[in-house]
Amino acid sequence: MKNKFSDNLFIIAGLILLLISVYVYTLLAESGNYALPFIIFGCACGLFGHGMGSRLAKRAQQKNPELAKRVDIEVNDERNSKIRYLAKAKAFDMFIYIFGILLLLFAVMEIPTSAVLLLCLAYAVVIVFFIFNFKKQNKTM
Amino acid sequence: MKNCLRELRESRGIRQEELADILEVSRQTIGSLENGRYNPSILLAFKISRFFALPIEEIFIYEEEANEK
Repeated sequence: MKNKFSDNLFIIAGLILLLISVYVYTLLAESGNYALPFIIFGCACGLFGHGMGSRLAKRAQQKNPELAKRVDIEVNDERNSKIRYLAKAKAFDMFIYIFGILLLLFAVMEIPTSAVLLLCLAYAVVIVFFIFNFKKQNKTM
Repeated sequence: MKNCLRELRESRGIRQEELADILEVSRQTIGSLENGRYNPSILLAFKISRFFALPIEEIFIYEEEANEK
């Protein structure tokens, strides 16, 4: 019930944002600033697509209990979970290096300092979140 | 870790899909277990042990030398 509510919320929020994007587009059309309405439009599409996709998937599973069981097994299968976590861990390791190199490149290039500092902050937040989670898991396991 | 899951399954005339449904895992997991590519969690090992009514150590063979490498 709660999930259905959140799906509906995503769909409605998506539709509202879609209308807002059209409104903002008409407002800013004269000034030639198209970035903001298209960003809102992108968010609207994401929310609507997520909500509708989730709702359709649930409806299909309700009609076919065998499919629901199969999906449940595939999602909760321990080997699949392990593979998923390993892939995420590898991607995170790679992300750390790529982000670091990108930061160095941005620092060398003539990129505004505020942008480089924002990237540094994002990098630091990710690392701090990793350390926080590591300590948290260390205490609970 | 070696195991005799394939022999046990075949001796009971069960297909991989059927065993996967009973143990609530994917068919690929059963395949990987049988090939020795994947070691199960302790929970899954207990489930398998209960299903075949055999002790875990009779199904899964721990090889100390292989693990030390």
